[in-house]
Amino acid sequence: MRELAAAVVLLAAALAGVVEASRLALGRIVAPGPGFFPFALALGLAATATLLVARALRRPQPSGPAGPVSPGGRTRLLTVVGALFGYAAVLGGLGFVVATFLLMVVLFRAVESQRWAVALAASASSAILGHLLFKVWLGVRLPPGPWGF
Amino acid sequence: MDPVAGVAYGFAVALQPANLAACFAGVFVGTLVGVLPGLGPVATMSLLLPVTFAMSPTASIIMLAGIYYGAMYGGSTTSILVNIPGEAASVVTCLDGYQMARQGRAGPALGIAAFGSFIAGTLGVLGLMLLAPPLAAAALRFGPPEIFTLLLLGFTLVTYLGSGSRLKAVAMALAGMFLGTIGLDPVTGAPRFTLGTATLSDGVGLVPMIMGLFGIAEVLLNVEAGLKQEVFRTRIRHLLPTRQDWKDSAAPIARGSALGFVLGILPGVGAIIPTFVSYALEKRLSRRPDTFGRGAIEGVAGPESANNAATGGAMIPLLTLGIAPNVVMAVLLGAFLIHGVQPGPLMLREHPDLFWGVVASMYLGNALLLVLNLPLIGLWVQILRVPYGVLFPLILLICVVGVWGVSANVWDVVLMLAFGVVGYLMRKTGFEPAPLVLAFVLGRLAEESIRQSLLLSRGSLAILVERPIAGAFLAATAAMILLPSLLPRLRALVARAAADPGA
Repeated sequence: MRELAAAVVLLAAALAGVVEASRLALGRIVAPGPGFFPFALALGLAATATLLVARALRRPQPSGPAGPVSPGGRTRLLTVVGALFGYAAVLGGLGFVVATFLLMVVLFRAVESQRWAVALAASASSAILGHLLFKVWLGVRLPPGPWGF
Repeated sequence: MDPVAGVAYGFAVALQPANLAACFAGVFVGTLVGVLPGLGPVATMSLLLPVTFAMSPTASIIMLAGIYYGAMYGGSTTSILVNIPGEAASVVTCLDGYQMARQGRAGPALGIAAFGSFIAGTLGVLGLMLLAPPLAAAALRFGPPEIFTLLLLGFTLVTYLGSGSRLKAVAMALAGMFLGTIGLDPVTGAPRFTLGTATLSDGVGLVPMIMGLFGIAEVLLNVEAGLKQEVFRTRIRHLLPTRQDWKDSAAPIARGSALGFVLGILPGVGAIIPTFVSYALEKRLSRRPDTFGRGAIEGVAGPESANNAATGGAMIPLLTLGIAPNVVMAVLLGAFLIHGVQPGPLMLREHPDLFWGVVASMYLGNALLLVLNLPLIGLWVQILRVPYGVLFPLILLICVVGVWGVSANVWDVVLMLAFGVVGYLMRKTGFEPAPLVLAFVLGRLAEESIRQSLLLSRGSLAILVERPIAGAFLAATAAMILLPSLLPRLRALVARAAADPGA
């Protein structure tokens, strides 16, 4: 099931690529235009994906989790992914130190459930140390918040 | 400059305090990320790329190269003590290294891994030093048709030498090349698939892609699996291998070094594949193949040598042709370009301090690593005891800062997270990220070189066969594609002829 789903997604992406590439100037094989290589590559990808779909249909794989999944693993995974996208959304508005503090609190609590005191202290120190290490010492341009850090 | 004068000059460069400090920082950080599972050399080098902006080109490359070969040392420690590969090229070391640790032989396993790495690493640099100058001279005759056909050979190797399904590797290589076409067309400047955004008109960033597919994806997998690091509780004694250990390991180290170096040169191979080949070879050559997987020291010595020799080999195509043969070298190529140095046949003449300085620093770095990984092994064991629940938020933070530091564009962070999710799904469905990234890097160069070839030949594809070097590469590519399907038939034919001499 998983094999089939992956192959179908790949095929759909390849077909979208074919359609988009065909809108660019293709040129000819001896004088290719901007669209020639993307078009050929997307076509090749579509052909490969079709073979993968056929193979998945012919040889159905046993379904079930691929790789080790511990109890509550899915929830933890989604929490982490959500926290990261949330971080990207607020990073510009809140600035590095505050946004990082919030992200780290979620991460430290989410996966191995550190105690609140530990999580808060660890988050505060990683945000501040991160600021000192990356911005002050290494000179990385980190986003400042409305309060300047 | 002949190699002896060159390397003497190189040592004068590498021993300058700033360069020596860069070398130490590189191998130290390299060992650290090698030891930490989930943070490999690729992500770390991308991360430290912006940090090198303020450094000289020579110091930058010395440091970044140090991270690469340093990680090859550090990875074995985690494999042996925790049975988790510290980084991908140490997967095979788990097989026998962890078994040795369980039998109370963690010391000799760590010792032979470090000594084997040192010998192979040094031999690899020696090979690099001797081979690069003549190859650079030959490469001066390379034009777009030669580059294109060489890349074609590389793409074939990428798909052929992967460890999973070949069809999936082909799909990933095509997808990677397609992603490489996003941005402005290299010849006409027409925007392609940019969705009208400024972020994509520069193309998909290599750093967000690598950090996402390798760094973030790995963390997501570990978070889901609830990774528990359990350092094997044992006292590490007898780091110096015994005479018998040396006797068992000498030949595997020699073979691993040769194998790693030669395979490392080939585009598309990297440091991981040589370790698998070395392990298989040692098992086949061994008089006691049944001991493999139960703590055979040969199974540690061979692969650990192979991955270190491969780092020297992999520098050759980069320094002589300006072609990145694997993902790590793609990051290093990016570093060269950021510092305004075009690696390739002319580099040896135009930047001798850079070339020889880096070569000499690799000798120094290997010696430093031997010290870091034997007397100071206890330090790394302590780091392994930090629980993953504490470690992974920090790894994620480093990835975010690294991507932000390169472009200061929040969309690149989003792009990295998207690649992280895609990379996670790829791993779950058996697709490997390495062919995708490599094809992404080489794909742009391939499109440029074929279009330049066609301009040169006024639209005739015959230029790819008529030039001798290009023709040879093309023939080798054809052989690579055809041989696997022909070999079994040939063998069957020979077998039938042998079984039935009358026919």
